[in-house]
Amino acid sequence: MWIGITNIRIVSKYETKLLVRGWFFKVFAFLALFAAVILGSMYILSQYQQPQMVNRSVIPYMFMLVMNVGQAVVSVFLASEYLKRDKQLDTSEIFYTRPLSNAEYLLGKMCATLKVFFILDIIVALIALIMSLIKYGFDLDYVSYIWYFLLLCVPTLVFIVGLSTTLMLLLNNQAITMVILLAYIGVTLFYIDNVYYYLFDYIGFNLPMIKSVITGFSGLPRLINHRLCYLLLGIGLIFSDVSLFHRLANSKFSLLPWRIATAVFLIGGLYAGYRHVHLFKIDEKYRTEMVELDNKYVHIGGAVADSCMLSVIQNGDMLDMRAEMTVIPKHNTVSLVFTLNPGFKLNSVDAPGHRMNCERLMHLIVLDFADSLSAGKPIHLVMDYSGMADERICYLDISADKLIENKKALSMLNIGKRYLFQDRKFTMLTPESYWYPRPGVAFSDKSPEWQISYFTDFQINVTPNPGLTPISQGHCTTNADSTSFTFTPESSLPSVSLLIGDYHPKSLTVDSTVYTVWELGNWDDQFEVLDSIRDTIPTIIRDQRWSMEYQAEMKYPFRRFSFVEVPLQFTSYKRVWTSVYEELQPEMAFVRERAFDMGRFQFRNMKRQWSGGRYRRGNNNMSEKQILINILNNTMYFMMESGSYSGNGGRNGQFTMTQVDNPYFYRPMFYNFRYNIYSSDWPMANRMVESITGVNESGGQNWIRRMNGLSEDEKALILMGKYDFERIMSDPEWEDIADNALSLKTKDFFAPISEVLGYETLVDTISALTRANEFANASFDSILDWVQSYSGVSLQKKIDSWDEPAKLACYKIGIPQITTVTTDTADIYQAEVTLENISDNPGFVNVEYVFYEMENAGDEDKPKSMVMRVGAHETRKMVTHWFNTPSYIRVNTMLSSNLPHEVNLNNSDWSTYESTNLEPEGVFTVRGGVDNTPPGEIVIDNEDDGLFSLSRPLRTGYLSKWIDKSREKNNEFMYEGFSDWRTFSQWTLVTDQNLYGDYIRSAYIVSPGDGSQYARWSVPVTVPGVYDVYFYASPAMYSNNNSNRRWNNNNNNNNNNNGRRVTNDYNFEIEQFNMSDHVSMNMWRADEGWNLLGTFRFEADTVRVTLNNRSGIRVIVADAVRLVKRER
Amino acid sequence: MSITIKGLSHYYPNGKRALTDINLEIPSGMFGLLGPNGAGKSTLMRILVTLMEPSEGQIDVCGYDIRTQRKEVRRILGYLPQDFRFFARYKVREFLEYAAALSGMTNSSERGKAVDAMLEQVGLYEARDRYAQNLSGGMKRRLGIAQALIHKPKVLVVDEPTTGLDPEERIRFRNLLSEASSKDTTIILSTHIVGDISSSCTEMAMLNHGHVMFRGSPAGMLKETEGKVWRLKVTNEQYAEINQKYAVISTIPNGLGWDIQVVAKSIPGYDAVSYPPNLEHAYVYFMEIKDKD
Repeated sequence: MWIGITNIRIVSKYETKLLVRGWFFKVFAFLALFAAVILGSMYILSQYQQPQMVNRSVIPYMFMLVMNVGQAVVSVFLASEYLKRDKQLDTSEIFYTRPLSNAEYLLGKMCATLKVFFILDIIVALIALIMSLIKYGFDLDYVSYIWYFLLLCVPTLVFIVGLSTTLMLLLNNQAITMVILLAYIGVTLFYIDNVYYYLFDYIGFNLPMIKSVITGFSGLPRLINHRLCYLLLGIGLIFSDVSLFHRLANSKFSLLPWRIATAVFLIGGLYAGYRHVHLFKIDEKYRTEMVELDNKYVHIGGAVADSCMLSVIQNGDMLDMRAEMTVIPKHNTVSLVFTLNPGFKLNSVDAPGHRMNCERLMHLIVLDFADSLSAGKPIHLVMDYSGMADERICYLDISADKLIENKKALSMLNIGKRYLFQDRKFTMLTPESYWYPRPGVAFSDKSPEWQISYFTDFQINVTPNPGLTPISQGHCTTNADSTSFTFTPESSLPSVSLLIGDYHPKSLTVDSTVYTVWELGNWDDQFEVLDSIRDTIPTIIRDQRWSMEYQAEMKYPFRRFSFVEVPLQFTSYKRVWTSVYEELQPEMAFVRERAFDMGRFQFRNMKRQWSGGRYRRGNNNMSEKQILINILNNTMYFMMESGSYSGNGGRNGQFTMTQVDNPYFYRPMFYNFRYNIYSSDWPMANRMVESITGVNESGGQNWIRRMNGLSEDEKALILMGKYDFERIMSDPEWEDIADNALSLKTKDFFAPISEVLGYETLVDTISALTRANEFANASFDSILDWVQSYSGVSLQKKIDSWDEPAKLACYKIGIPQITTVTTDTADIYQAEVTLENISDNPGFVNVEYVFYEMENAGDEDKPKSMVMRVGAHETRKMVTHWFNTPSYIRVNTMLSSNLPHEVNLNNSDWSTYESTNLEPEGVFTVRGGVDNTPPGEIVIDNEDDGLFSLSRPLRTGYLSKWIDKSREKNNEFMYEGFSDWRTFSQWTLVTDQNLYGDYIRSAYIVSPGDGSQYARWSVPVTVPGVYDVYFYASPAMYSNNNSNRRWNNNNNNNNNNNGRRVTNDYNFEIEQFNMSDHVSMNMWRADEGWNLLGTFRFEADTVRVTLNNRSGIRVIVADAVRLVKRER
Repeated sequence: MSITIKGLSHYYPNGKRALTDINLEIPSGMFGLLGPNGAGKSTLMRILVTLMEPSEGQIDVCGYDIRTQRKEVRRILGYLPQDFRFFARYKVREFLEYAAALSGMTNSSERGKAVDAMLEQVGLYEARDRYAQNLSGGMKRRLGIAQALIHKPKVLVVDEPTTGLDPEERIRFRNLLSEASSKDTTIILSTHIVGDISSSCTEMAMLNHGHVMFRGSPAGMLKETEGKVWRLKVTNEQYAEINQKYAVISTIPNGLGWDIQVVAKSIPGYDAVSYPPNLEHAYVYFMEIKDKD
């Protein structure tokens, strides 16, 4: 051996003393321990426990991750510090003249560095352990503490210590070394991110490491390989230091073994890195090949599985399966194509009387028949297959980038993504895994044919490993010794899933429906909390079910419902072509282990929180039972929520909101698992029908559009005007607004019928037709035919132009008129809404008359929502009669380029008249257009090109310019969001229904400043005279409907940046022929709409009205000015 | 011979020649290496203690080739570098223990005893728990000699050890070296202070511009200088003339002019009286006169 352990130990021992005595390490150690205690207090001892804390690996993972990031930075300083010290200290040379080798000396120093950090890691882990013991008792995942130390801390430290010392030796300059390494750390942490599948993440910050109590780590071999890459590279770099060290070696050849070792370890590390990327590449290639194959076979051998009897025998890790199917070809064909998970080996395919020759192509099974199969004629097939399921077939429609995207818990802990599980102790196969053969291909980007799933009669027989319990859809029966289980669904289903594990049920029957929670562990501690309301639980379930059924306007269609516990790594994705998430299956919903991501299911925590905090303070008289009832109601309610909003912060306080679906939303249980409206030509048929018959959710659109600049519908419309529909539906970038596009498209599609029948009747009709085909495959064409014949309207044109970019209409909306007509019996309110289509494209608008509660007496049964067709350059008027004045009229311009796309016309703004003549109700074409500007008035809006101008932005710095430029490039939708906390350093275009505009209600806004920013309206005056000058004010833009704030600020002046007192005024200059008048207007006192600035005499020339940004008000809104000529 | 140096030359990467064809045989005992700053002493020392590799030549240290048997050489070597001021954050005893341990004293109890004994010997026992960085210059130097001697080396190389020490510390340090040299240790004392050589070395060499100017005993050096030191009385004008031509090593004003001492082969035209040389005169003779010959 060419190194002496004794010398290494000696060097290490004394170097350790030095490191520990250094202030840098002391500070870091103190901070690390302090952070550990704070973290512990935050997440462990806090009353409001995060649901994820239920997983016992979260605490060690979190502690080690935080520690690891810190030490990755600090160790850079310390590792290079001792080499610098060696250079600086006179005493170093006396050690160099000692008989130890370079290797012993350097390794001793490295060991010292590693030792102090590892000891610190262990101390932090011990703090985590102690806190966990306090929190959970002895029920901990002790092994995970070792795992995280080995997977996170060891490779990171070894690598960064090796890298920093090598760089230091090469560059011989600590400052440069520091800069390079800190830049490297910064880049790897914040920039490189998922490049090469997180290969460069040496800290392990983005690697999925949460450990499931059911299945452990996800992708452990790859995880180890990744960490091994850095461990080997680190060792290689440390060994390279022996050769690079500036001290004469003990002998001429003593460095050779180290050079060889350096090469071996570096090559080993690089290979591990290559392997990491290569394995992902192989997977991607495999997935690409599957899609190519799907594209090739997507049009071949289409069929529907009428029945499917599955037999599953679990044999250790493996599954032996048999599928007996009755398949009905959709067309005359000589081939049938099935998809089966490519991990399963197909042993045989039998047709009645003979064994079939079949081709197994990756995940496809291609059966060629000697004689042509007739469309609609059933054929019986039996397929035997076995093996381990391959996860790569799952989510072929989801991009590789999305698949490797991080899934985080508590903002920093990475959860591995798994789509199926199969091992001796736990198996989970959802339809996405194609665990049984299904006719057709898995995915195709050439044809949407594959998206249609048909109802099938299933029966599943499962023989699990001893001691395990299978779960699937349908009524379950077992054989005498409970070794075999048979599931028989009461009705056809679109798909079935299979779970096998050490499941324990907790069941309750309410109104002949069996509700079950299938636990993998023991949840007794959670359920015990509910003991005191045990008798009330059926009532709560009944009430919640009733609410759901009421909202859905349908009955729950199954005889059982289960929450099934699954590993926390189980992941699903939103699909454009279906609203169903994999979490929800017929009769069951998958809950990640111990409700890892659903605090509502953690009754113990909920009780503690609800009994303590704010909730209790506001409800002092609430009994414990009532609290528990509320908790359970809240838990159940989670399936009623269609989604939530998630905010993303940006530069300058820019904030965008995105809607996040609730994968557990009840709707698929009531609709998708029950109805299938299919059409070969219209793969989206089912979604269209679902969309039109579903709950119409327009709530939240207004504040979303204010935050984001545009509503989701408006974004969808902008895209629909530019791109063909299929592209919008298939581009992952727009998946969040695909639903909106589909909904708009569907409403427009049926608009001609809505116009005739009324929208509500149309919906009722389609709903009725759909419901007639429960648990069966119904043709969309037949529904379409029926609706067309019923209404007498042909949709052929719409069908022909379905995929083309939408031709958007554009409307000027007149101010509604309300005429009180006194008749013999009562006062009738005649509402008139006029719209002018100023575009070349015909379109439809939906006009809805909205009454506040109890104000529509007498009109309860009258349809309130009407669709009106408005041809190109046509003006139409809708006349309606009401017993009360509508509170407001909501005009939805459907496929239009109006912004906002939907406006509420409040009755306070309407023109009111009185009359004794009642015009007939209906929609009429009228002459002339809509002109909200009376004669003699001139209005200049910010949208008027050439007549409205803005000052140039003040920013001149290159970086600012570049940032602004890149922001512009990213702004696909032109209009920006508006939020209270955002600053607008330059004029920014926003839209809002409170703003002025013909068809785009927009304005430019800027933050207040020194007056150097201005907006200017150039008003051409053709007739000299005396004019009133008005400015269009939108107090809603800066008061945010917050009356307190408005009044609190009403009389208060503010200080601007220069300390000078500024007021809540807008400052205007009104100028003609170099004569200028200054006008101030207190905006807190301004009315919504036109406000008089003053009266001026103008000649026939341009008048310039300039508004600057010197003000103390929150935002300057430059919208429109109006000149009204006074009559002499 | 303890150390044999043959044909040793060293060039720096910039081409500057630091040592030229050095041939020396250094016996046991205290060996002085005298020379002005920049003469190449430190380079020679650093080569001898294996911190630098010579460009040419051979060095044999107690039978070990310094190029191929560095480990063996390092094992028998003690070294006190010229600058010995900046320490890592070790306490005195820790520092000495670390040095002892790296020198092969692996038995901790024996090492502890040796360290304490050495600290007693160099008078630092009372300061053993102080941080080395906080010691005075003289104490640091003593700690330096302690670390160099702790493992009883056969060869001790001390580079300019007394520079910057007060007279008391200097004497104390010389005594420490003398004590060490009595134990069959070869001590190479590199210095530009003549007094260090005269008081302790029996053998010496003088280096200038990378060459050996003299090799022998201090007495031999004095002998060579006999008849080269002169004493004379001069006026101001004469002093100015003599100072330009000869090496004046002492000037004392006498009211009328100057009593001066001059090192020169002869001073024709002046009433100069020959004066018995000391080692300082000899040093000047070799540096100023013989080197120019």
